[in-house]
Amino acid sequence: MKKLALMLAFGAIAAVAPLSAHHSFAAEYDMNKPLNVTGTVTKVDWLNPHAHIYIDVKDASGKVANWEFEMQAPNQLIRSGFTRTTVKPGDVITIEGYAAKDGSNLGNAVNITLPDGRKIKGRNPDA
Amino acid sequence: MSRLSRIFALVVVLAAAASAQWLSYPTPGLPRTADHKPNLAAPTPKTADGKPDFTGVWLPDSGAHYRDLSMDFPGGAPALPWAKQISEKRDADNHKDDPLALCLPPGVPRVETHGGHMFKIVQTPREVVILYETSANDVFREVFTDGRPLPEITQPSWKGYSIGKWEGDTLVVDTKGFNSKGWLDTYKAHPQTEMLHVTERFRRLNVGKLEIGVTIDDPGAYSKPWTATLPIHLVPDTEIMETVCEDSEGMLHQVGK
Repeated sequence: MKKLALMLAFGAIAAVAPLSAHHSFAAEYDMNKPLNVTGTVTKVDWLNPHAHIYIDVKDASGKVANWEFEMQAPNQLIRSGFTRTTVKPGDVITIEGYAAKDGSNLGNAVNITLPDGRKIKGRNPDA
Repeated sequence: MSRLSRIFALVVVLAAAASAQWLSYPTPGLPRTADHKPNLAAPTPKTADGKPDFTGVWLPDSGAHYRDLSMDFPGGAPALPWAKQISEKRDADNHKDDPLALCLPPGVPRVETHGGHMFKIVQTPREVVILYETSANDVFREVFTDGRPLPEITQPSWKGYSIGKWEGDTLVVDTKGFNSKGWLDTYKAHPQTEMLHVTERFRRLNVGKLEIGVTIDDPGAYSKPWTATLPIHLVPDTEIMETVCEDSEGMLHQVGK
């Protein structure tokens, strides 16, 4: 079974409406595979229509895997106070979201807890 | 000007000077309350020629019509059998062919129903220009209000060709010349054909509220016209931002390549 199973904390992700944005969330992510991971940021891709954050996550055995999380658009992030320098490589953050259907180390970020404790939305719940 | 007012004005100017990308800049000419907050309930502003002025930065109240444009219409969109099948197939395919997912334009009126995505209306005497962020690439529309008729269409397009006429305080916008590639909405994935004629009735109820009454008339896909009412609100003291599709690798990823 994937390392993922060891890392998953099926924390409460507040009930979200289907997160289909301009494309279908359902095409790529699985609502039945919630994630709650804490890790160290390795890269931030500040791209439209999706910014991406990459984090190194350590599993119970100490093995590190790099995960990619898709977020909402930079314009929306910046309006909620998350700029391209808010999170930097080396920062430890927590991401709640959903895993990709294909079993790869890819997820969709719903909520992100920043190093200073602020929680911001990874996705626009109303898109 | 009292000393206190002068100090306040200075603070406002300094705060404005520090704003990132005009995300926080006082909109000139916006009516304000005594504490300098935007007065969103003030009466609709008028242009020099006495028409309601739609100029401003606007945001849909929610993404509901982006998900299902037919939500207000009793029984839903009166889709012809082939159109119903197309919607079902798109849903079964998890919407992987949604043009908006492929960084193509959202079409009309989906361009102005997307929750979280702003647009700016710039009104001049002879045309109204609308600048949309969208989730893909920024899009403009021109609504000609100089009395010209709709043109003969030789080049169907994503946003069509628009003219506007005043009916009292309502700006009635007629758009034709659409391609058949756009989707009218997202979850329901309602299709359109080149016969699509969209009517948008723009009403600015007060400073803070805009309402667009939409009629979808596409005999190629629907047995009769159907309607929706889009509630939209002003976003004061900010500006729209550029959007460009740069995440092409991510897009390929999302459509399973």
